[in-house]
Amino acid sequence: MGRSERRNHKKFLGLENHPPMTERIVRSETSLQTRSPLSDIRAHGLLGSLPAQALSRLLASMDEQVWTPGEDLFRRGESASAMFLIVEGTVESLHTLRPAQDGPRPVLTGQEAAGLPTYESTVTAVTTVRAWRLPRQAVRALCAQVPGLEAALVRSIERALQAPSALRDDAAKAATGSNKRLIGWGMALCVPPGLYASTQAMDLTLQASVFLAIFGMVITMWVFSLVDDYIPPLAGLICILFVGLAPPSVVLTSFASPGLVTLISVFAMAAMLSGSGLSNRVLLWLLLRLPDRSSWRQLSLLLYGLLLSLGTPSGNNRMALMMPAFDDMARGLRLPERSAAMTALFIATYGGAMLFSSTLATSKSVTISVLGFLPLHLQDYYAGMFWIGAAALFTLGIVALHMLGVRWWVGPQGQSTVNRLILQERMHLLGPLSLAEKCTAVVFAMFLLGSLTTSIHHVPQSGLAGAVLVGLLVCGVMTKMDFQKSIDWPMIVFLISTDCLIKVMGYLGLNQDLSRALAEHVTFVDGNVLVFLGLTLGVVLLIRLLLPIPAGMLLSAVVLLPVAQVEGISPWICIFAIGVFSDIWFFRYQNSIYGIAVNAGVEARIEESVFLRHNLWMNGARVLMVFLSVPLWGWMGIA
Amino acid sequence: MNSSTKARATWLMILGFLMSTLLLLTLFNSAKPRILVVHSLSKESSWASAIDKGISRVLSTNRLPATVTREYLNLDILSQEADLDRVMKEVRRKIKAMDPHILVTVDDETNHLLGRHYVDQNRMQLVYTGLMHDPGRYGYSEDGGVFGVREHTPLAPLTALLDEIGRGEPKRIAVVGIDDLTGTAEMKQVLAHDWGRHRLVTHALVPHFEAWKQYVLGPAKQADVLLVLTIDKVPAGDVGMVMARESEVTLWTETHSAPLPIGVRHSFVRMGGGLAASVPPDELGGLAIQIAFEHLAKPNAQQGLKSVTATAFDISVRQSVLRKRQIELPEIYVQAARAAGHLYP
Repeated sequence: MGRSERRNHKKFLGLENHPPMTERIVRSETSLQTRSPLSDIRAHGLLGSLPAQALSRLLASMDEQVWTPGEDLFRRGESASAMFLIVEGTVESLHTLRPAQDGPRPVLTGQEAAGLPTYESTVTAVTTVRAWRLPRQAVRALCAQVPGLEAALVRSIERALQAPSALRDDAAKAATGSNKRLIGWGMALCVPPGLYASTQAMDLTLQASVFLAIFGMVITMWVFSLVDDYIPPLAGLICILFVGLAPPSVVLTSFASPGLVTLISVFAMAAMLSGSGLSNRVLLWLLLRLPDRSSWRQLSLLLYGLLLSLGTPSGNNRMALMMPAFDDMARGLRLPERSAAMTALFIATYGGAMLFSSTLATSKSVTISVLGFLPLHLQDYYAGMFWIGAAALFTLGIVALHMLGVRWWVGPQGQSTVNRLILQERMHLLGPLSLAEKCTAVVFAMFLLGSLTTSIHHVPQSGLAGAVLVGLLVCGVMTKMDFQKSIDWPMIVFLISTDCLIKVMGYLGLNQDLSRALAEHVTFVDGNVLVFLGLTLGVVLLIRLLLPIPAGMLLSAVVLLPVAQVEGISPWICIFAIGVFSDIWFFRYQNSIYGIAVNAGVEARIEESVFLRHNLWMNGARVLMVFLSVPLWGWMGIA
Repeated sequence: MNSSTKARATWLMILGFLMSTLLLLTLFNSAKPRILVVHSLSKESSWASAIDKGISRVLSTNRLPATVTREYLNLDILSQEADLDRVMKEVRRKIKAMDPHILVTVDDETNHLLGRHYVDQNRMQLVYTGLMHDPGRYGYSEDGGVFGVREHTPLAPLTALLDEIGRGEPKRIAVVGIDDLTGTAEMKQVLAHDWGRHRLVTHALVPHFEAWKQYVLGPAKQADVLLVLTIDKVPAGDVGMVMARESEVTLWTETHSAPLPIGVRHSFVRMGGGLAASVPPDELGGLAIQIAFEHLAKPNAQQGLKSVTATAFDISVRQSVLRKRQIELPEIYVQAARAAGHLYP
């Protein structure tokens, strides 16, 4: 586009009548240190109409950026990593009729971050441009929270492109061309028939061969991350139903289990904890109340993680909820990228999401599924106060070792202070506790209290969780839309279908064969808890090389629980150790929780080698604390 | 390879994966063993449902993928206008369409009407069950590759039971059954049996319920015990194919018979009779399906297979009826009936 064309284009878009740019830039420079994006958001039609809870969360993730004339804000085909709220300056779009400025109000650009994988056009600064950057993760989270927002944002791109454009994120994931994916699909094509043929040659039964072929397909799809995690086990179940390998009552058995009610309810509670803004308010409160020192800020993130762990059963969800808090603090403190302070803050964020995953039975959704392998009375007994008591030493120790690890591996972090003005503004924006927050807090407290006192009232956890869900729905705190959109249904389908696969395995007698084969080689355990823990560590680490955390935990439980029974080891110790050891990881593909942070661009902001060293330290700390807990378990009479 | 070529190749891989998976699963499904079980009676009949129960019991422990389908000839509920030839043609058409690997034919009627026509099928293995006549009657032999389960009315346990009834004196026995394939086979077994101290004084295979009544009120009166053969297909009269209800025949017999009626089916007691000794039909179903799965596991090793005779038996007792007749059974029989779930107040 030539200079005259550009001028005509700007004229066409009505950009010639803007207020003088210089005045606006000066205003911005004078307010740089203390400026809040709130007034700019409120000035924007679409974003300004968002609910206060959503606005408050959005504020935490916004970052101010400035471009000089001629610089590209983004280029067509680039990964749509952020959306921009332009508050000053003029931009032009080279590939579309995207409105660059529509008057004195701020304008949005880069709405592709709401759902499309890449930008549809190139946007270039014509004058000095100042804009608020909204990271893709924050935009996606916002869209998940505000029904209709994603559609509105995408419609605005389509209007600009003058052609319909479909959301292609998920489809693109399946078909993105990369060597790994190509190899993965090739393996998915070859592994099942190969497994079938080889197991038939080994004289395995027909049903075992068919199951192993299907299971091989599921694992291949997991290992190569060919599709979202919940799809392979679901596909496996459909294959099993297709060939009639087991009756539908067995194949779909977990879909009719009390565990499903517990999972739905716990996820609903987690969604409301976040959606109502309660968790956000607690974090702000912690930040405002705790001393303004790096160790206290890290502690506040850990406490926030602990709070989330009490009600959010998924590490992925916790990480997604904690990343805005991390962004918020990092920006507020103006921490330099790759600095020790930034790395320490992220380690605390990651720690908050992961450290307490074994503190409660409900901190990990798969633990609920694994508990389902035990008799009902044991499930209720283990799920209550018993769990907290038996895991207490481990929890305290792991937190202490985490803090020690940060000091040891990260070193001095310098001085920095949080922007309390923004925190107070955000707190002010939230206003008094809303009805949704109050109801969520009451329901959450009731669930927590009920779970901890199961041994007194003998109401099964599924009953409690179901009552909580009904309470949220009946009070109207959780709307039909929330129920549809806020609950992590793919995760529930993932857990339940994986559980069903394991049940089919049991129906076909394969897990008994596996346990029997293992039992023949583990006679050395001889009822010794320490030896059993060593065995558990080995088995879990081996399985986790292939499977993601939930599936790895389920399979480890199937293999190890019978061994624990034969050896007279408490099933709780077995389940707890499996849960803790499953959190150990060495390679990035083993941990989707860190993957969330990587997707949010954390790699570029922290010293990853330090984080990975700290992770190795924590791997060791997990093992150490499990072994150090044995005397406590002995005192409690279970070891 | 540039990124668009890679993406195209990935799409091709995905397509290949989906198509090949679908193809392999469909191939497996079409090659999966198919078993067709054909009953002579209707699904609701006590006999057929008990056989099905036995089949389901074995299937619940089976892990070999197989499709099991059941077909009912409904001989007990067919209307008098029904054309049996047309019904059989329809069943044969279904068999042809399903092309089962194993055809299980239940009882003499099914084997007479259907099973004997499938003896020399190469692809299809015939397994009979509940057969009272000699298998040779239908052209079956183990050398010919046809195996199954023979049913033998539990006459030896019945003889022992007669020893225990009353003060142990020898009993005069009357026998009544329906003049059909099953009745003929049962009567043949009864006549060939050694009753020991007891004596068979009269026996009859009657064509319908009216003749049944006449026999019970006439010749059977001279006996101490009336052995009641299978009554699930008793024509109501001498015209047409309308069947008398099994419960009606049972209750009438129990009410009007002077000698103590003893059934050879559990349903006799369930429908109001006082005492029965019977082969458990679920055993017949279970054994047949076991033979079928043994054949499927090793289709080329027929020498390992062999026909069996069901030896298990059940005792069924309705205490109120026996009390009315002042019959006191040894406790072991009562407890056996209780264990089988066949003890009625």
